[in-house]
Amino acid sequence: MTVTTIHRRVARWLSGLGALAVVSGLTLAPVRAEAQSGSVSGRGAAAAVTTATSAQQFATATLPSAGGMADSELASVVVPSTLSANGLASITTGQLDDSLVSATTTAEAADVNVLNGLLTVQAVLAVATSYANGVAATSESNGSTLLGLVVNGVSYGDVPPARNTRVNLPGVGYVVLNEQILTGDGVHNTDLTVNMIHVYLTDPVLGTPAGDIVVGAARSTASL
Amino acid sequence: MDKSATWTGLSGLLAAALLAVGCTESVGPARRGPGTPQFDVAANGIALDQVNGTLPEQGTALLKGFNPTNPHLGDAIIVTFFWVGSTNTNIITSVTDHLADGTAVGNTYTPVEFVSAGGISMATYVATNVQNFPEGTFPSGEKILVVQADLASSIQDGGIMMSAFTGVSTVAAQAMGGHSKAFGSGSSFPTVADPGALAIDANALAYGVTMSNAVVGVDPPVGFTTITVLSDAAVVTEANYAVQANAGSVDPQWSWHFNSPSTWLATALVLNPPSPAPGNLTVTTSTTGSSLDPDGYTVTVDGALSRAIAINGSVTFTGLSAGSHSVALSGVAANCVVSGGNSKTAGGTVTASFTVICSTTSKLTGGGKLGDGRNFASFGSEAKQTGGEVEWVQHCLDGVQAGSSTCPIGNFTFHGTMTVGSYGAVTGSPSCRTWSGTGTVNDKDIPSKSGTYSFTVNAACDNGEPGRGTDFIDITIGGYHNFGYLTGGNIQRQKSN
Repeated sequence: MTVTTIHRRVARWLSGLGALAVVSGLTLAPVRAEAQSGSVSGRGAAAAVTTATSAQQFATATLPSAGGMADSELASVVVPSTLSANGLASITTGQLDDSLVSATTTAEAADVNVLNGLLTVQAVLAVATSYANGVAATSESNGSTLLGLVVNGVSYGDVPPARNTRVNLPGVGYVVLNEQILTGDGVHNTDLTVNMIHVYLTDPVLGTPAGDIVVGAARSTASL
Repeated sequence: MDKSATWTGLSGLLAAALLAVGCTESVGPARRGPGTPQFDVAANGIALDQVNGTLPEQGTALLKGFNPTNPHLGDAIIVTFFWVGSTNTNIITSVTDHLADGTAVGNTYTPVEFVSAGGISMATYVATNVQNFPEGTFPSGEKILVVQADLASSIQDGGIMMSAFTGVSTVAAQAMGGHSKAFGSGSSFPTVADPGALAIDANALAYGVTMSNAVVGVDPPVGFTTITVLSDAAVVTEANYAVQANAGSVDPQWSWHFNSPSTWLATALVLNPPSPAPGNLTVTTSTTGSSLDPDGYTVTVDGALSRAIAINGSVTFTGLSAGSHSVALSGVAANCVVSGGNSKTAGGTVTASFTVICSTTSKLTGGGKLGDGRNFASFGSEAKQTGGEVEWVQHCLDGVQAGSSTCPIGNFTFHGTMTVGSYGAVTGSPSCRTWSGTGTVNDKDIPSKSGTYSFTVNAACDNGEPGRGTDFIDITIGGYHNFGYLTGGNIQRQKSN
């Protein structure tokens, strides 16, 4: 794929998007479950597209307040000129016990095409797991996967990029691969968000945020 | 089989039998002694009690007694009258019964079918719940029950065939089932006489009777027992019966050995047994395990009748109508499970038992990733005594891989629901749990593989935190089998209650 071709595709997407405004990135609001002195939360979204005029999330699952399991599936999704993907799914599980609370969320998609081929990937899996036992609270992203990733003509193969890898997308904005946002005190609470593909759109003229596209978004929280 | 030879032999036997029948002898089956309770027969089903008949008779009446033994009170009597003479209408003006000494009895004989063709006629009547005559054997004959048809016109050749059955409903409207008739002709074997199929309930009686104007042999309907065969110089008659084990349809068909143009008549009817009487249903509970339900349960019959029941107790619902009833147990604590499910259907039984198992280790949850590279699975699961589910997504980036342990059917998703009661510990592995159920596969590479499959989580093990490289899962979905230590995520087994 040539740079010229990519620029044409981006131009088509931008013309279809119309006027863009500042839009915050994908937010997976935690849903806290209180039991004894602990709580867990989890939420997954296989994909999400946010623009000035709309916000869409696909195959989302939110952990019940008492723990347990929630899941969602979607065979395919097409947001014209913006995103297409197959096999979208999110699963979140969690449990509160006297001495341990934990939550695990997975979010995945396959055959992903972002912005008319500007970014493609064969398989995306985000895994976010959090634990808290009253003494330590930790989170991890083990198992998170990006297979067959190609960004702006550059192939990353099957090796997942290092966390929070930023790649500029001329005329569009930039993408953060394997984005991980970790918060918490590490003792009693921990919160991890994993966005395997997070495209930040910017206005080509003003350079201001214009929306975002996320594929594979998983969040887990544990507190005890 | 040489039917002609058989018939020749049978004719000789018939001739001997008819001499006796024409007088006072019964040709009935085994008889019950006098004093037998008359209404306990329902419990034993429908059975042939007494048989009698005669041929030929002449004049304006056809009659015969149950010599020497009367039927039992409460029996149903089926009477078929035969005569030579083809008419468009039944010439029988009345059917009555009386004792041989002339005492009127007064049972009602309801006409069921009349059929006439080829110069012969046949009419069948039924009386249910016969009463008002003495039971027993009467060698001298004066107390014998006699059934009589009065005719509108005199006949030169006729007869009567009557059979009494125990176990038929004593309510006429309930006793009478369907009935049918037909006639036909033929000139060779086999000429099939078929009155038509009838619907029949389980344990009901099917009665069939046929007549021909040719004195030849006849093969009985398959599955039917012959009640009796009567013949004279002009006609042959045969009656048969069967008590059906199962509901369905019945279609008695005789095969006549006609050897010249001849006519047959046929009639079939169904008599029903009584409906079971109302009864009682006792529900019992048995609870085992730990952290037993503290406040007992509620048992509900037919979704309407509810009563409290102890965790190890019983309650009895009385006066329930006959038939099946739903029984549901509710109010079971979350850490307990009812083995085999919370509801039952009690039919043909008077007890419904529930076994409840309680446990303090009541839940296991987990999710994450199994496998690595281009073949991997993501999953989530929740399982406890009262139910659970599994979501499994198999990724095969290179598609179907024959011989592969994980990608023989390529990419698929599976959502399974746990069978309540299947959750339990894995022997020798205290950190592991197992459960099973059924679910739906959606195969993206081989659509024909999509469908419903059973699954078993052979083991889901919480070996500590973090779960990666520590926790273990082993699952079978139909012919798919995958297992190993997690490459991401966690499994947590509840350790407190």
